[in-house]
Amino acid sequence: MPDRPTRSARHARRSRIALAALAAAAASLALAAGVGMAPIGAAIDGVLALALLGALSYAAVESGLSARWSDAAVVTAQVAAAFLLLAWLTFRAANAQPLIPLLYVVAALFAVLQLERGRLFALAAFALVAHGTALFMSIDHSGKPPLPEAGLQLGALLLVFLWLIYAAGTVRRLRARLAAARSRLHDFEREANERASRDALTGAYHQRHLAEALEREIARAERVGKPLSVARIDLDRLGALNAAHGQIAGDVALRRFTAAATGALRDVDVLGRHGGKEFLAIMPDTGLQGAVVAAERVRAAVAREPVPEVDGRRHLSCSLGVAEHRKGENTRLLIGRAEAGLAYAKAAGRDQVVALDPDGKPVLVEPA
Amino acid sequence: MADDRVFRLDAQVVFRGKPMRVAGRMLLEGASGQSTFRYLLSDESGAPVLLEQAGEHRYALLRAFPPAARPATAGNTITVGVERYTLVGVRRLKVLELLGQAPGPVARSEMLVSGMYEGLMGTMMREMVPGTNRQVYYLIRPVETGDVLSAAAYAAAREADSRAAGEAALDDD
Repeated sequence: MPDRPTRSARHARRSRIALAALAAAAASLALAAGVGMAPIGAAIDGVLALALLGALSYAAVESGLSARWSDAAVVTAQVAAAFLLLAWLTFRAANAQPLIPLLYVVAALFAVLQLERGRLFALAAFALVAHGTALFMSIDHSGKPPLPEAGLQLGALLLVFLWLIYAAGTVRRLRARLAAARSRLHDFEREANERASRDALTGAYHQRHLAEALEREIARAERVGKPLSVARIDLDRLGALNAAHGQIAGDVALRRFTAAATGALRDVDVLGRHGGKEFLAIMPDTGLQGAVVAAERVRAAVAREPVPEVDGRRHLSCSLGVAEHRKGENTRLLIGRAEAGLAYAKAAGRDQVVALDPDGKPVLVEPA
Repeated sequence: MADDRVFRLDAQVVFRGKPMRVAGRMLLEGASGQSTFRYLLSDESGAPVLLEQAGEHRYALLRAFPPAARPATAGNTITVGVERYTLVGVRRLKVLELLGQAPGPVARSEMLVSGMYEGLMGTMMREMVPGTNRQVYYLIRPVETGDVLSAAAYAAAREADSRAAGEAALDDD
């Protein structure tokens, strides 16, 4: 999905469009004066009015004043002012009267894609009243155009405005549908990313995500000077469970372990599958003492999970090695120390937590 | 052991489904002349894995204890926590070759005394360099056949599996 342009980029693009529209309108007025369709004085007045309108709108948007208004881009005011200017030209430039309704349509096109239906009706009514007044004042003043032609102009303008409002409604509905589809697509993309970073069997994060998360957390811990700990976790006797009750029983045990361990850890901790029955928990902002408490909580939660009987035991168990990150230590060394603690926990009888103290000595943690 | 059954240094291997590289290799010779290889495998981010090749395709995983670990020893027994391990054999090994990262705290031509201990929790190994205070404890885990494969053998096994699955699916039709 292409990136949405930034707010300032959108702003700059709109400003460029508005400036181009003003320049085109000013050039049209100059051309009309050049070919004798409008008096030179009227063209100069028109160009000055356009410049003033542009400057006022730009100032309102740039100063942030318009941000508090319901129409932050000042489209309604700009289009209404454009209609007023066209009505004034209708009166001043009688020779150009047949062309002016086209310019109403051009000005209205700026509004149809941005304003809601109520405002469009109000702007159309305003344009008809302004143009009608200008036409009738012009009839009084110069006798142009004849009354039936004025009526035809107003009727045609009314029909064009109604059609534009209908088309605008259709475009708005399409845009709403497009926005909803885009939002759904965004949700799907997020969900797909989430699924891609998780192990299909257990729902724990897979190894690549785990490695990235650990590298990120180590960098953060070194930057902000906060502690970071990891726990290497290994399910006990999973091979025996698989051998005695089949691989499905082993898969169920892995899922139960993940659910219990995730429940015992905090939301900010990251639990990932490091290998077949090996897991790694990353505990940000956690020193060794806190990590030991969390690891013991995981061990106790897992020990409550029932499994089919193996070697006279009816509950799942896991062994954990806990290590706190040392300054300058990379992911391999940190995991390696936690792994050494895990080996000690396994040798010491399994279903245990072993923490490595600051001197690197393994300490068996008493069950809570 | 013929050379084609031994992993070279920097060879790509797959250990329990995880692609790894042989970062270190050590050749040991026993008192009766039998040779044993040890490999240090590493990947991009995980901890290194130490394997001992006992036969053509027989491997054991050596899980090192923390270097500062000093389990209580008394006579022929070692106690880790409440678990007791009893000495069942001693090997005297000579380091014949050492390539890449050393798999353990040893140097070339050194002698190693390797004691094997058995307990209820499995097998432990205590390895010492005579005349020094260097010693390491390992928990030994058997590695199932097919858990250690060269990258090429792993790819071939996957290919065979997927072909077999395809044929089974056709048979179901």
